Amino acid sequence: MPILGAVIGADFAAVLSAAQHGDEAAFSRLWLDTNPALLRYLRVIASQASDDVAAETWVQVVRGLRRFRGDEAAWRAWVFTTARRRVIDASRRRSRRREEPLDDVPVGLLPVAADAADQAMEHLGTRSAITLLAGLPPLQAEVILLRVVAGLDNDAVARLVGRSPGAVRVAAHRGLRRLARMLAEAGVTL
Amino acid sequence: MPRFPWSARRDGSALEDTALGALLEGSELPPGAAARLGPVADVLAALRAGPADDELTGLAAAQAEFRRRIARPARPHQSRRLRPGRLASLLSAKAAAATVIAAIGLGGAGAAAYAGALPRSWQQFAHRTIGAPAPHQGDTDTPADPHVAYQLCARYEHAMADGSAAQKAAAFRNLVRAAHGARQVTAFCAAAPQLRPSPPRPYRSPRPDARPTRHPSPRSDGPPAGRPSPHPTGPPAGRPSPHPTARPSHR
Repeated sequence: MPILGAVIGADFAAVLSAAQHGDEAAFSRLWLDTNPALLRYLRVIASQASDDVAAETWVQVVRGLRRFRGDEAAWRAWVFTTARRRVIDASRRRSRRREEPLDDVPVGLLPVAADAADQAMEHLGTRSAITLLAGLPPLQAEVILLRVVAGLDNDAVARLVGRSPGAVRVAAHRGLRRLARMLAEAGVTL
Repeated sequence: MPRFPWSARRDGSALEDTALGALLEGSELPPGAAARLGPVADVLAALRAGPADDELTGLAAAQAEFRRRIARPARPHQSRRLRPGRLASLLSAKAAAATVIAAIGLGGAGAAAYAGALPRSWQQFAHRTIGAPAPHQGDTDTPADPHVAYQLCARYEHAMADGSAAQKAAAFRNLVRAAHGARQVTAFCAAAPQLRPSPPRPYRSPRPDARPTRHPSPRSDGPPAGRPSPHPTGPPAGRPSPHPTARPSHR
């Protein structure tokens, strides 16, 4: 999972416990392991506010750290859930939550972000991939990121986004198919 | 080229669901799906790539919050050697980096850093903080050090046979990075010396013959329960200077 560079793995319980008892190095390790994934997720679901939301999320996580119980998967689920709530609260406050059911629009009718696709393949860096993902309908992008970047399994993602596991699987698969179309239409092939 | 008996039994959509599931898990695509989904696999591999510098800049602020709320002299049973209460506050970027480096590569990562096998941004980070070589100029990553290649492929095999989903994903990710793309993995491992001929399996299937002696984690020195220090390569205890020679760029 996670990604990303790091999975703490077998050390996780010891690292968590050390952090809960005040070991800053252990906390740093948790942060370093989780923050890049968190930022990538937030860059898609909270675009411009991602750094702020990440910082707020860590404040909250630190606040609840001593009480947290669970393994590494539960830890990630907790951090991402905390972040997601902050995003939702913030957008409610700004009351600019727009949740069009893009999911239900037939794929062919949706604009294809060919520019993003071109750009992404030109410099297939993480940022470009994030830009590309951000071109997907929100739920599809979110569940793909939670699976791929946060490293959560399908059921954990379902709990996190408040949908059924089936709905999450369908959204993820639709998102990936659409991504394949976007890339194919941008002329990206093997 | 291995033969995949199930592909004939499955209709296209079931095969595609399998392939999409593999994409999400970070395992290799079934061969039939590679042409269509290969570019998507590359995008997802980029999403999983190692951290960029600007993804590590919030650490100081988070540490400050941690110090404000939680940090205090640790209980005696904890990390006696490191005395985290005091040392933690002196923790340098170098120590943090060493910890991360230890974490990322899942064993041998320090070696990977020195071999230049980390992704560019990590290599740069390692270079600045633990004195590993600078990243290669030019193209993204790396190595082609045959030992690194062999290790990555072997770890992947072990993870697929015995590892958790996280270990599988991590092993595959590392492999994809080194092979410069998910599609190159099979060729990459085929070229690795001394590797058994079976390439990483694209699809999980029972393989009773090939359970290696258990390597649940490629990290070989995972601490047994109760081991006091969770930091395999933690800050050099007793090292007097809290000042690193270099720091990650903070905002």
